[in-house]
Amino acid sequence: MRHLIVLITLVSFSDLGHARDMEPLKLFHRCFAQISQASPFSLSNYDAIKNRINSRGDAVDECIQILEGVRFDQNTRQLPAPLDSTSVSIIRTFHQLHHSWFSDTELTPAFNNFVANQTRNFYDTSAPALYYTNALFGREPINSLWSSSESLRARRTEGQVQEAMFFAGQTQSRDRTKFIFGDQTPFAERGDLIGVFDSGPLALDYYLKEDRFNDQRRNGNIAVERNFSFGAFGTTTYLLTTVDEPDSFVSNGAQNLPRRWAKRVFNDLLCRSLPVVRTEDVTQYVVQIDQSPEFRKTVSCNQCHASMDRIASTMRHFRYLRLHDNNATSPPGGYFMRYAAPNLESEPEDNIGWTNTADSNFWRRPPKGIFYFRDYKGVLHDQVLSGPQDIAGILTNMDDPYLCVAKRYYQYFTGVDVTISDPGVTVRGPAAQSAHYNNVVTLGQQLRQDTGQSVIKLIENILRLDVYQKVKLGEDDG
Amino acid sequence: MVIRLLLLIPLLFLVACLETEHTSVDISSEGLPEDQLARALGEKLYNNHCASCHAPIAQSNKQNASVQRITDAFATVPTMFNLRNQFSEEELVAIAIALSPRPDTPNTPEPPANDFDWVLYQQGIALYSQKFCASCHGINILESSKRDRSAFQILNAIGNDQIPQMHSIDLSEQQADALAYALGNTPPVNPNDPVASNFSFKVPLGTRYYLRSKMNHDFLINGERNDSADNSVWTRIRDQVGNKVIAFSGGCSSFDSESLCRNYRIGETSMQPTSSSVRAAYLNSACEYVLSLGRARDNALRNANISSPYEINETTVKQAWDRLIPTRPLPENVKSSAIELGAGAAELGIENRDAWSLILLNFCKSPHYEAL
Repeated sequence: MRHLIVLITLVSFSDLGHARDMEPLKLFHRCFAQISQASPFSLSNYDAIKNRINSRGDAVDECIQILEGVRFDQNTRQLPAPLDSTSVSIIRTFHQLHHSWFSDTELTPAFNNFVANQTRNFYDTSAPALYYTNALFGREPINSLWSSSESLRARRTEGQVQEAMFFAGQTQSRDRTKFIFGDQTPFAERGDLIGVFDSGPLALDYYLKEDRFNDQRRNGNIAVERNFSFGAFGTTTYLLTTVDEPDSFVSNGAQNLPRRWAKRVFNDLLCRSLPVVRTEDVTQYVVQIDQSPEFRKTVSCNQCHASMDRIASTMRHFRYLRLHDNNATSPPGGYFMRYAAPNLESEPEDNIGWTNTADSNFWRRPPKGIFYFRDYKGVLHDQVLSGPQDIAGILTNMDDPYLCVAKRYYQYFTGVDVTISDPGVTVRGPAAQSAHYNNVVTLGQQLRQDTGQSVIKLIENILRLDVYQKVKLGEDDG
Repeated sequence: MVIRLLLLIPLLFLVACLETEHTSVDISSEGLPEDQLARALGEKLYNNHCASCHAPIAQSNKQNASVQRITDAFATVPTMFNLRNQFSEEELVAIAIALSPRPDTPNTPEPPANDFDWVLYQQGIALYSQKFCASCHGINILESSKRDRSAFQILNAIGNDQIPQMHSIDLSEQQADALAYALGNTPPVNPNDPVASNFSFKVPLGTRYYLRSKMNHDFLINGERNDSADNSVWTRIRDQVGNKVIAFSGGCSSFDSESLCRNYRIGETSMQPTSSSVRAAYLNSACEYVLSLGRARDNALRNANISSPYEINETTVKQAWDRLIPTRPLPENVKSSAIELGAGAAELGIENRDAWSLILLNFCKSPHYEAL
């Protein structure tokens, strides 16, 4: 009996001993390296920090203070001058991290390579990640990620360099006036990221040469930075990386819909892969009409299409537009997003966002759709949308997008990738995995309930977890 | 002496990598049953018409290709148009049989890790980045849109009038071989690599930014260059780590201000390595290259407060480890082997300071060095 007590005592103390077994200074090293991708020895005040940590012992507090010191000015929305290298490194680290969370970090592969290269003169493909970066360093609530109506562009150290982008190993020095937008050409800024600005829709006049053999010109106007009040996911850059429907594409509500965008939204914003509903949720949508698309005739296909197609229909008016001629003497242009405003009344109420058979006028009707989704608690959401901005409204009242944000930061800091899913179809793994899952759920809920929905607070909450403060990062007693 | 030892390491590595098996194909068909005759015929046809692009049949990148797939390729791949009417239906079936697994060898085992040609592979992925393949075909070579392309196909694409973007690329046949090797192979996981195998999660690793900053502060005093010897250290760190976008990730957006990124228009950003094995190989090489400079070793010892006579004992080994890898405790086996190495070096009459080069090299090559 006495042996048993000793054994239990030993085991208990051993567990407690491992709960947080990292020395404070080592913990600071880990934290600083993660937020800045730089050696802590590069800090000019390293000795002072070291002394404070050795006397007070709160490494997380020191690390968070450094992070809090990096902040976009409220008016200029950029780092105040003079720039310090640590702040620039921290912004770069997080912005790259945020950028890596998007499924598509490059322009859609459907684009012709040459024209895609020219397009990069105007668009910084990391622009959707600016909404995360701005939430962190601009101290915006995280729900701006999906609800902002701003068109954020990057403010970088070198500004708008009048030099065309690299192409096949060479840069081409060009004057902005030679581009299709002439003096108005909005080159994406280059250099280290130091802030953001709202460009608005940027409706610009352009001109193209109609014919390679004469100087006939074609003029027009296009909004190059439109945002449909769906935060990062409604930006032109996000559409240019996810929409692979060309100008000739016509949404017909059956076979033809911008599905790639819809899939990416579930993935990027909710950390979920299709299907996001159960088989029993879609049996009523199976139809046996000869003219219907094949996927409408089986339950398994409908399981994905019922969710995907009906949010894709909110983007039925978009397709990419190529404003660039294959003519060496033509002014360089690129790919942009064309928006064709609806000019017909909506489809019947029992057929919203998804028609049983092709509707040739579908693309001319208002962008109605349905958000069809089982959340992480297993609750089915079946809500009518009158446009992509309505998705933002629905999400703000759900935990799921907050859980997704928490999951991504949790993975970066601890190395543990937690799966968020409908509990009705997923069996949780071993206890340790459940402990990580519970951590993420708690963090996500805290983020949503936090008054300022502060990302810094979320990061601090992660850093204060036992799981982070262990020598063997990511281990959990659970 | 130590420099010689250091030089031996990559040499041994090279020799190990160069020991590869050669496979021959027996096409003698006398007295064989019908299906084996078909296989022999298929192998012969394959070797005459297909192997130059798709590798010898045993290593073919078209294993299990069906008759339909072969005929589709004749119809759609421009470099194969000339083969369209060369074969009878029976011959096509024979090639497909030859490409199917032999009944007596149900599963071809993965080649053991030792057979993997790391040198060729590293050269291939370096070329993938240097020759701007990554710009159009994806930064991650393991997910490149041009996986499994043969050297012939690569050279053909460069010379193809339909792909003017590739005309400026200058690639020798040997380089094309290396590129094809990297595009056609996946590096094996090193079972001794804790980052790859022992952890049940993906340890966050430092990007090239972190490693460069860290090595600058580990192998220079205060990360600064004070003279030409320090310049050499700094340059090697920049070249071996700072400029290795693909190996160490951290991304290189065309909007970055670094001169390196002006030449790499790679919009993709990754905070995780494409492959821990690839990274490990690059890190090994970087550590060797940097620590072959006596100044790098001296600076590292000075940073760890280890001075003449540079004793190698429990205290100093821990000091050096804590300075280089401050977030992980010194493993017991690493400590004891470092002390043993010091004792062995002393017996051979090697100076303590030189022996430290090897100890520091081991620390630098440890997967813990790159872990955050």
